[in-house]
Amino acid sequence: MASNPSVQVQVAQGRALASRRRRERLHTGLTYLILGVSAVILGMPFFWMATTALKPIQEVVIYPPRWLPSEIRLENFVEAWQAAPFDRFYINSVVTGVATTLLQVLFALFMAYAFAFIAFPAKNLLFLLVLSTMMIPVEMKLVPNYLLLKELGWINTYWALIIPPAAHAFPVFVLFQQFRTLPRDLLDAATVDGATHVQTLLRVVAPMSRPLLAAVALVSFVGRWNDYLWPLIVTNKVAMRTLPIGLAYLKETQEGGNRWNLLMAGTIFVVAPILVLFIFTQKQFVEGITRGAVKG
Amino acid sequence: MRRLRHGSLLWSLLLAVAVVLAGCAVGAPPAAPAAPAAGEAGAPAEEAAPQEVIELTYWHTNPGPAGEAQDELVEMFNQSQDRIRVASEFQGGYGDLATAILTAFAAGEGPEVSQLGTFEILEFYKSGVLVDVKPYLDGPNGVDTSDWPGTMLDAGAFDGGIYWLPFNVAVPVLYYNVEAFEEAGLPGPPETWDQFFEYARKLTVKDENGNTTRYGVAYIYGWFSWPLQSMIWSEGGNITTKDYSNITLNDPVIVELMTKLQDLVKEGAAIMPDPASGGHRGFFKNGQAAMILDSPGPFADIMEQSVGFTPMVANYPAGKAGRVYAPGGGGIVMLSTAPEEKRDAAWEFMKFMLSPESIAYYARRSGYTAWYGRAQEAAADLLQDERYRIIHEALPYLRGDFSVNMSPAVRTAFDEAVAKILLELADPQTTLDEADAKAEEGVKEEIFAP
Amino acid sequence: MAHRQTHGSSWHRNRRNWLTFLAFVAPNFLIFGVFTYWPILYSFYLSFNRWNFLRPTMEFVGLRNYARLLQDEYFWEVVGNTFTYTFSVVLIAQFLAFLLALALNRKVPGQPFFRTVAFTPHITTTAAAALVWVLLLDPQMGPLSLIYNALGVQGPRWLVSTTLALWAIIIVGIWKEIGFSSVFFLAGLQNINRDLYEAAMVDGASTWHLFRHITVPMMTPIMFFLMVSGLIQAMKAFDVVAIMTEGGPVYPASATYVYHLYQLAFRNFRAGYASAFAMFFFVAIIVITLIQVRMSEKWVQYGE
Repeated sequence: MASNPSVQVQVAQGRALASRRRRERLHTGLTYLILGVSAVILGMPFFWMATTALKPIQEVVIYPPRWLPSEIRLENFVEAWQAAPFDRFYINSVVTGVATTLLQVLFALFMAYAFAFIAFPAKNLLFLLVLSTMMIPVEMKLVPNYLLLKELGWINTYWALIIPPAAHAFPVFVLFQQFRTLPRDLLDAATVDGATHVQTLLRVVAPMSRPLLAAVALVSFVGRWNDYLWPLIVTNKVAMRTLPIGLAYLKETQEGGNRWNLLMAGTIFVVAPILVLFIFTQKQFVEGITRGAVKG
Repeated sequence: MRRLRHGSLLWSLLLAVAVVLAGCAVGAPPAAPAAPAAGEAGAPAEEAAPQEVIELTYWHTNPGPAGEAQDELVEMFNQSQDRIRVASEFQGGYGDLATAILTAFAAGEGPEVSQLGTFEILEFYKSGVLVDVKPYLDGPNGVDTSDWPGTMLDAGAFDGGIYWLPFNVAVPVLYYNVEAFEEAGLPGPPETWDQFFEYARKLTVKDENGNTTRYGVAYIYGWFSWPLQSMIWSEGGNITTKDYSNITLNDPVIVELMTKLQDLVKEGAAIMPDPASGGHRGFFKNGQAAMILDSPGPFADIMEQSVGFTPMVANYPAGKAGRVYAPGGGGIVMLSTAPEEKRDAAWEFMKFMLSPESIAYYARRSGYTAWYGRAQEAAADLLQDERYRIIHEALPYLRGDFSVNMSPAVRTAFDEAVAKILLELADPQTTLDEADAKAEEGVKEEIFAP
Repeated sequence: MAHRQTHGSSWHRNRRNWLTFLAFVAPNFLIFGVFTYWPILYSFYLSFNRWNFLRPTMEFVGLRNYARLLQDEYFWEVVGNTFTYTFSVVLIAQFLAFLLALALNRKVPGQPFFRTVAFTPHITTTAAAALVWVLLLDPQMGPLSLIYNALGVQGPRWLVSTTLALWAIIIVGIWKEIGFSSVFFLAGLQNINRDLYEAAMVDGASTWHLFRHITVPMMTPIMFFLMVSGLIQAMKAFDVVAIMTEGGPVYPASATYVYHLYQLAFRNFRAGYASAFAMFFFVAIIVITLIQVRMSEKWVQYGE
């Protein structure tokens, strides 16, 4: 009974420490294994996209395939660029993407605020009505929308590319989730000071949600940038079309052919700006979009 | 956190309400869809131009050089006179082009003249989308169609009118690997379909394990029904009558042909390759297939990219009924949304596009054919090339009948059956019987139901 | 929480608030009304008619489109495909994403890099991604062929196989979804209060026990969120099908519901019938969401 308790504790602690270290090492190994495998699988398409875009055509169709091009062929990008008016597509994508994003965020800000802080009958019901719009595939709405746009005289205009997508439930939902977590006192204080809702929104709520706003804006922008079907239907002039349609043109040009190197160069035109944007803003982006859901 | 749960109940409620709301809408039917058109449109342009210049819009498909060539032709037309100005717009692939016309027409607008593939001709005609150009064709400012090949003029002829005129015409082309033929001791391309099947076996090379290293023939993935049509017609078979009153997807000729084609696959003498690798064309260019059944479209690519052998072209073989070929490509139409006062100008433009010089110009740039007599004269330079000459020999045998393409029910049933038989190796007889029943059932739902 | 006051006399008292509310939600509701709600009502109306978008008149056919729907073998096939696609993508992606998030949650060197790589598929233009995948899965030109070669086997011909084509599409769906879900899981993991673990560790709980009884339960709300949003996303799958298989190789082997709907409406000109398809989709999505909500009440744990 008189065995030294402190020694026992030390031994036990030592054993625990060793086993914990072992476990630690195992876990780290496992972590890298999972991360490594994931990175290879998830990153492979980008690798293949880039290398294919640089290969001469003979090396694209060769069997077995080569991991790397034997010579870097930058002319692919020039040829792909010339296959469709990509300069015009870029301008259209940027203009409509930015404009729609700004409107989406602005409208969502007001709507989310209203749902979070202003009393109104049957508010939850209305909110669900908003969320339900996320469930409707665009394909279902194309023709009625087209007829409407025609009535408005918006076909082949930036209006058609900007206004209908300017209302989106996702930013509303995310901002709403965030707003609910804001300390009530702050808002009450603002109200007591006699601030109107507009003032509270712009001076208190919006600044507090700035990182989230940036993230939401980015999601909106990415969504617009990648959209194919809507611009295809509401424009019928090459001068009004956007990048993903340029990609489709490039694909058509290959009709049955296999100029995959040019096609991959084209995909890089479309994907690269978004990737660059994401890499520079990813911290805000990731934190922002997860916040709403996670804190919900 | 309870809030989420609380929300879930409300979810149910909302959705119920949404459904009820939707139900209410039946009582108040929305306004008729067809929007009145034309009236207010285009005003600014017309005011700006004091001269009576008629503005037209032309939509087209065929991207790349073939599309650019159309833009160039339009420009030439604009340069050639100062009364009519045509704006040319590329609309994507054939499907995208048709969708664009569909949506525009539904809203009462659209181009005056457009290129149009073959799938939509009948549906568009039956719906009043297309203008009968027969009066123009036969009128004082008409077009001489006496040297148009085969029955191409019939393709767009319905109920006494003509609603679609061929513009970019493709003919079936058999590409073959000259060295492979020599190796197998074959004198030249197959003259009959029976020879075709025989040669395909002789051209096949296998390694010691019995794996095929070179297939006799590679089939087109996705639209094998196109070369198949030529086969069937040449052998005296029929797929459907033009009015769909007698659909015969299980015609004995078809069953026999499909069985033979499937046998080649089973024996390792034929393959339907994945579309990505350039499909059958990739197999041919790499020397993995000795023959392919295709169109003149990939001619330049194939000549340029084939490695280690000499590619050559031939016509499709003949069958018991001689040579009967299914045309490919597209045509040109006038749309009924074109206001009366613009129709003469629209015809003027169509006539220009169909002129021998335009067709020859287009053939030079696009790989489609200079498809009628005077166009070939205008493209004499092109035809000095032996290979182009051979391709053009197919023209007189074209049958201007797109009835398989024009009915979605027949088209899809046929395509599915072909894919099932050649990819899944399903039994040809039962598969075609089923497809026939399906097509007959489906066509009843279409607006041109017999 | 929400509105606790009695409603009856409240207009006067609340007029200012209510007007503000209406003004704040007006822009979005206006656009939703015009470009979403109205088209749905219109589709509902169309679903009782036979029309091809083009003819000046439509023919009222009552419930015939709905009756036909139930006998249409395409309908059942695309419903089955969409079911397979949706549940495979959502469940597999969630499982893999959770694993990945656990790995990302260990702050090892290089973690930000891996997180970036994981997320990029999600923001990649679907059309572009689908094109690359066509190339990747190709039995000859794709890098996978090197693996098949090394193993000495014949690679599967994904896109021309009636059974595999749908799975090719599912793979792309999963690829796009993993990084997205894992970022949410990661945020959730980082949000779990460390005290919970420490308290449990003092009690001598094993790692597995911690995982099973703290980590997983704390993540259920996120799982729920991701599952709902993932299901809705997946059910709408269109672009990948259009680029990779067009529903082939033997239509509709890999056609999803929305893809078939688009084909019906815009390639076969069956506006009325396609609208009946659309209405069914709408109802189905409601029902599935309700089921999810019901089920979630059983297993989602909302800790404080």
